[in-house]
Amino acid sequence: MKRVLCVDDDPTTRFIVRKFFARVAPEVEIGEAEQGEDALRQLEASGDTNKMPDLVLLDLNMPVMDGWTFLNRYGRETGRDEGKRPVIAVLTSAMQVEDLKDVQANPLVSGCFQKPVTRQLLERLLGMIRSE
Amino acid sequence: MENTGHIEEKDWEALLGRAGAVRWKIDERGTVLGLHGPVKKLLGYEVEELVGRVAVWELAAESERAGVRSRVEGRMESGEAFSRQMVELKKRDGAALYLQVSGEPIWKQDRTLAGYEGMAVECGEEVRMARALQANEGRWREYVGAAPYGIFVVDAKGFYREVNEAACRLTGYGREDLLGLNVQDLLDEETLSRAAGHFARVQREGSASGTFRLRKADGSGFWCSVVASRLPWGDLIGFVEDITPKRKVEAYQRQLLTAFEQARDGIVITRLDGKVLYVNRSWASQHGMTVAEVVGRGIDCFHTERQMREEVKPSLEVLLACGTDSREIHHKHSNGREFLMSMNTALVKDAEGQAIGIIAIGQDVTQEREQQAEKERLLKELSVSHQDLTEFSYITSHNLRGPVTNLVSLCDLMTECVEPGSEAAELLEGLVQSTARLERTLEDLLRVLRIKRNPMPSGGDVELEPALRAVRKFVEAEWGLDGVELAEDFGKAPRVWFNESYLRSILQHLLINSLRYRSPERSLRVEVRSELRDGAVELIFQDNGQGLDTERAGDRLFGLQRRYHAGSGGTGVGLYLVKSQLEAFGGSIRAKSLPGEGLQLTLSFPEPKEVGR
Repeated sequence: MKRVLCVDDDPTTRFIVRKFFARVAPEVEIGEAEQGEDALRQLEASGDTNKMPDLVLLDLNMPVMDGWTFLNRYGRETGRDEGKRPVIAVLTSAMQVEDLKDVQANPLVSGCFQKPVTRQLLERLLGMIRSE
Repeated sequence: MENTGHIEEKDWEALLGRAGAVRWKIDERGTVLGLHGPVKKLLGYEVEELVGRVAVWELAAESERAGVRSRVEGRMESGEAFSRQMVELKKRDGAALYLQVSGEPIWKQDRTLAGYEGMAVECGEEVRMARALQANEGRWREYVGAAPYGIFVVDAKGFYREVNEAACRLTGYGREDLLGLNVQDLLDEETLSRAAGHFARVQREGSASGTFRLRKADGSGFWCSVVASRLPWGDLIGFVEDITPKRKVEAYQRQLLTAFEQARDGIVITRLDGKVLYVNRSWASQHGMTVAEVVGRGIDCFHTERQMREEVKPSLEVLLACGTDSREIHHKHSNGREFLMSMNTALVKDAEGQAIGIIAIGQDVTQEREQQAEKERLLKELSVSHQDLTEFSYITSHNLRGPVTNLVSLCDLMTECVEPGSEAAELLEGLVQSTARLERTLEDLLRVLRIKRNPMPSGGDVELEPALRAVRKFVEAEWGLDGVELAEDFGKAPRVWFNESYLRSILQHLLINSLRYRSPERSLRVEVRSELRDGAVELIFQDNGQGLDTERAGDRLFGLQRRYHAGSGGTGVGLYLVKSQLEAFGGSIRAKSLPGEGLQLTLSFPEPKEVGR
C-alpha cells in the first residue's frame, strides 16, 4: 500500500488532497502534517518501518517551519541514512516556479508543481510513485 | 552840423583809422590816385609820397610784385569787380603787411575803364599764418599730407579745391577725380539734407561738426565725423575721420548695455579692488538697493562678513588664478535676509590681456533650491509609499492565490458530485467561470507586480521564430487555433534583445487577445512580422478582429483595469502586463486600430546599449 504525507498549513488544501486521492486512488493512505517540524517528527517516527511514506507533498510557505527549512533539516538528518526515502514533490501556490530555482535544484526534490490541485496533477503525482 | 547823409572827409579818415582800413583809387595804368585812412600807420609812407608817384604793384613785396602787376593789368582788361584778394605789401621799414583788398571798376562816360577804387583791410594773424603756409606750399603739403584725417578744402559752392592723401584713401578717389567733384557727390542720400544744414552753418557761424555717411568711389558707404571751419578767404576746410569701426563698437556697446539692463540675471562689474563700477537694475533690486546706492561702493555691501570670508574670498582666489569661477554664493539683502546666488564670475581684460576688473552674473537660486529640496522630499516619500503599495499588492495577491487555487480544486471536485443538467450543475458552472477569471486576473496581476518589483530581469538575444512557435503550440493546446491563419515574417529582424519568458508571455497575451476579440464576421488572420527602424527592432502584431477605437482609448488602452469589450473573458491586466514587460527593457508599445477593422500593435525593442546592460 502506498502512503502519501501532505505537508500544508492550509486545512482546505489538505482536505482537497485527501478528497482527490480518495476519488482517484482510494488505496493510497494519506497522512497530514501542518508544517515542517510536524512532518520531520512523523518521518522520524516512521523510521525504517513500512509506515514510511512513498511521497511527501510539501508546501513552502508555512508557519513554524517552512518548506525550505524542512528540506535542509531532512537532508542533513537523513544524509548518512541509506534506508528508504520518500519522493518529495513541492506543491506551491507561488506563481513563478522559475523563482524557486533553489528548490528545483535540491536533490531531495523530485518535482515542483503549482497549485491548484487537479485530477491531472494528481495523476502525475501518482505516476511518480507507481513507477517505483 | 548839416545832416545830408554825406560823410565829411575828416570823419572818413577817423572811421578808416579805427577799422585799420584804407580807401584807395588807381587809374587805368595802375598808378595810385588816392589813398585815405591810416596809410602812415600801416605802410610807414606819407600819402604824398605815393599818390601820383607809384604804380600800385610797386607797393607789393618783391616776391609778389610780378603777380600783382599781371592781376591788376588783367582786371583793367576785364573790368571785373573783385573782393577780398590777399596781397602782401612791403612797408617802408621792409616788414610785410598783409591786406585783404576789394575793388570795383571806375567807368568813363564812353564806357571805357578809368581805373579801380576800393578798400584794403589789414588781415588778422591767422590769415597771415595761412598765407605763410600757402606761400611755403611744399611744407604745407607735407603737413596736410601726413595728417591722419582726411582734409578737404571746398569753395563756397561746395566744389573740392584741395584734398590730402588721407582724403583720397578714405574716399577711394584719386586727387584729380575729387577736385572735379562737389561735396554733394560724396554724400549718402541718407545724410544729404543734414549735410546741407551743416554746410550752411559753417558758412554762417565759422565752424561746425557733425557725423555723416559718405559714399566711396566703389559705391560703398562709411560713417565719418566731419569738423569744418570757414577760411578767411571764403573757402571751407573739413577734417574727416572714418568712424565706422567706432560706430560698430558703440552700437555693440549699446546693445550690450541694453542686454545687461534687461537681463533677469543680476550683473555687476567691479574694479579689481572690488569697487562697483556698474550694476544692472536686477542686481540692485535683488539686494534691495537702487543702482545709484550701489555704484562706487565695495562688494562687501552685498555680503555679510562671514560670507565675504568663507565664500567670496575663495571664489576671488580661484578667479584671479584661473580667470573665471562658477559657484553658489550667499548674499545679503538690505533687509538682512540671506539668499543664495548661482554666480559666474570672469576677469575683465584690456586689449593687452591685463586684468582690469571683474564681471559677475548671478541668479537668485534660493527658491529653486528650496523647491528642489521639497521635490526630493516628496519624491522620496512617494517612492517609499509606492514601494509599500507594490509590496502590499504583491503580498495580498500572493496570499489570495492559495484560497483561489483551493476554489479551483473544489470546483473540480464538485463537478463530479452534481447531477448534469440540474440546478446545482448550473450554479456550479457560474462558480467555475468566476473562479477561473479570478485565477487568471490574479495571475496577470502577480506577473505585473513581479516586473515592478524586479524591473530588470536578465536579457539576451531572443529568436522570434522559436518563441512564436512555442506560444502557438501552447495556445493551440489550450484554446484551439482551428480556422485561424497565423502568418509570420521575421526576415528583416530575426531576433530581439529581450527576456525570453517575457517575450513568450507577450506573444501569448497578444495571440489570446486576438482570439478573444476575433470578429464574428470573418475568420481570424493574425500577422506577426519584425522590422528595423532607426536601429531598433519593431515587432508588428496585426489581426483582423473587432479592433477598438484607439483614438478614444488613448494611453488608457495599456492601463490597468481597462476592458474594452464586454463578455470576452479578459482580465483587464493583459495589455498592462505586456507594456510593463516591454518597458522593463526600455521598450514601448503603440496601437493603431479602427473598430471593426482589426488591431495593429507595434512593439519597439531598443538596442541593448540603451538599457545599460
